Amino acid sequence: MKRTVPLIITFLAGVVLIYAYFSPAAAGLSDLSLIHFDILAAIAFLLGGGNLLRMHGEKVYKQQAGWGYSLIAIVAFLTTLGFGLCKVGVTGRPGYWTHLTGAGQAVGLVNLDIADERHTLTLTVRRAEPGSTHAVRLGQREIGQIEVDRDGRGDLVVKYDPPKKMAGEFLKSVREGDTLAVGALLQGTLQRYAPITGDYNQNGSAFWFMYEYGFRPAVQTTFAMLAFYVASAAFRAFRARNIESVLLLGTAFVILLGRTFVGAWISQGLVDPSQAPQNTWEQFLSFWYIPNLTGWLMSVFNTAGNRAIMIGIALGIAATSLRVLLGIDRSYLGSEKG
Amino acid sequence: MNPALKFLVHLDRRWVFLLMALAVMIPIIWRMEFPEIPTPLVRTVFDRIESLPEGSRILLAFDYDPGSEPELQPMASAWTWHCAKKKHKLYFLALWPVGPQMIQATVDSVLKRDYPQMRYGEDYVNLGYKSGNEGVIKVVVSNLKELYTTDHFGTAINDIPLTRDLVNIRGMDLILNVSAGYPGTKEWIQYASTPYNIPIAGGCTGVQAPLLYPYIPNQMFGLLGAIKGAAEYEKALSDQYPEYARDAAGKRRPEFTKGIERMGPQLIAHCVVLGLIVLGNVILALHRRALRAA
Repeated sequence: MKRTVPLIITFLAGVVLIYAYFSPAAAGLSDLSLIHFDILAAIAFLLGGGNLLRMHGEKVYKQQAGWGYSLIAIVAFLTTLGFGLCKVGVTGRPGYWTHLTGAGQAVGLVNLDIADERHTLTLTVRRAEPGSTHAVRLGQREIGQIEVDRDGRGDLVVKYDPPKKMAGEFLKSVREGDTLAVGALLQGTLQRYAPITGDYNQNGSAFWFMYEYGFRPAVQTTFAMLAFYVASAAFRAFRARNIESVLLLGTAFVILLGRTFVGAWISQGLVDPSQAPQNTWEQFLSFWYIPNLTGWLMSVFNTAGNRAIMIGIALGIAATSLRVLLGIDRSYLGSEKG
Repeated sequence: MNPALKFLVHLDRRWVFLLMALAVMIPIIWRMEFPEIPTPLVRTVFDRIESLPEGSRILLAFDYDPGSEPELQPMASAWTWHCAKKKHKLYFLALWPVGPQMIQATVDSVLKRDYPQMRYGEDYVNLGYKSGNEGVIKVVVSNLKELYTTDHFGTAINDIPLTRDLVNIRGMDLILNVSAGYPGTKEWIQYASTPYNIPIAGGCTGVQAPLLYPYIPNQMFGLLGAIKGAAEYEKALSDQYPEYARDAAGKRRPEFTKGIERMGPQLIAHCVVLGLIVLGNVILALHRRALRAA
């Protein structure tokens, strides 16, 4: 059962995706299976996090070689996760909100969102008396009327958008503690949005600090170190020992020169880059202009080689996919044991 | 054996490291810059963005992370600046977990600085990151709102003017993908651009560029390869729009010419690598001769 169910799911998902490619009628089914794939991919993050903790936790517990690095990995992981989930140091999104409450069954919600200079006040009333109309007051000012429909629902939107010169400039002066009333029905006091509503990566937040001053420089430093190892490898390993390696060396020379100004500069006598070659001799010379030679190597030899590899890989993937779909290849299910 | 040859044969690799460090540091300190001439691949991308009518919808997929940021951010910034200049509508999204940070950095450094009049939700939108790699592409080409119910900041997608009527990305006039690997340009070509005829141009790291050449020109009309591609694009932009590279006082704007600036260290570093390859082979030949003579 443990292996049969995944095999059936794999077969069905694969068949649906193949069928949907040829038949638009099955597009909905294809979307559905892809959405499930995306959900699974998100769940994989949880499994990945759990696995990371288990692997490194075990190493720390048993104090195996390099357990100190594992400890750093666990602390960094949990700290970043905690900062992100709890939104430490985040301020709430700009604006105010409040629940509206009253004596009866009716309830309401007010959101005043501020983006750049734009202010949008959204008032929603539910379970109010059907067909009734109420004046909406913000502080002492009447800002509009709300009409309740036969289902007891009423909505009001007031916008202030400076370039469009819309009404509602008074929204600029709204402050925390201002009261909003829907007739005598509902009332509430505006308060700032809670930090949880802000972006986890907001400038100045703890997560942002970890990213900006921890993760980013660490990753960039690691990546930049490659330059040193490439230089060392070029000096020690790039040897012209036979015809193949001479060809590889020659190509590397042309590409390395062609990707900088040096290539154009040392071969500038061969061509005038500002105009096309006028005759056969100029065409011949322009071929040897290093940026052109680089382009030729990339678009002819490189492209031909890569296309051959890609076609081979594609055929291999098709064959492997069929084996997986038909249940011949079950290696993705893991070991037969357990 | 000659003592000099002996020294070179057993050369401590830290000397090579020091040489490379100097090759990179000196051009940065001296601000060495070299002329750039946009190649046809870069020119094609520039001309395509230039020729699109105002208000065209452009999907900017930023699939890279801080590791490749120094190489890819200049082209991401240049593309964003150019699209904003042409008043196109910009849809940002990312298939890499830290992509949203790359998007936000670009928005802050380009749009908020040079185009403060552009409004979030009306002129550009940040759809953020979704897990699922090419699975995400497969969904957004048929029904974007199945997967994206909110933007990166949690605003309902139906409340955003730019995305309210957006069913899928097939209506995009162009996809610009800045990619550092998987998932990236290859996946956008295979699952979005080619099946639905959406024009795509890629910007990628140096090691990735050879793998993307097979898609040119039929499946991808242009490619910005690494920092060289970015520098050429910056050159094309500053030729057409002098305000891109220089402010009103004629002063250079270094934040928008990072590509050109970084070509200096790249040039010297490439020359050092070439010199080391030659030196390594000369040492090998001399060493063999010395061994034979002994």
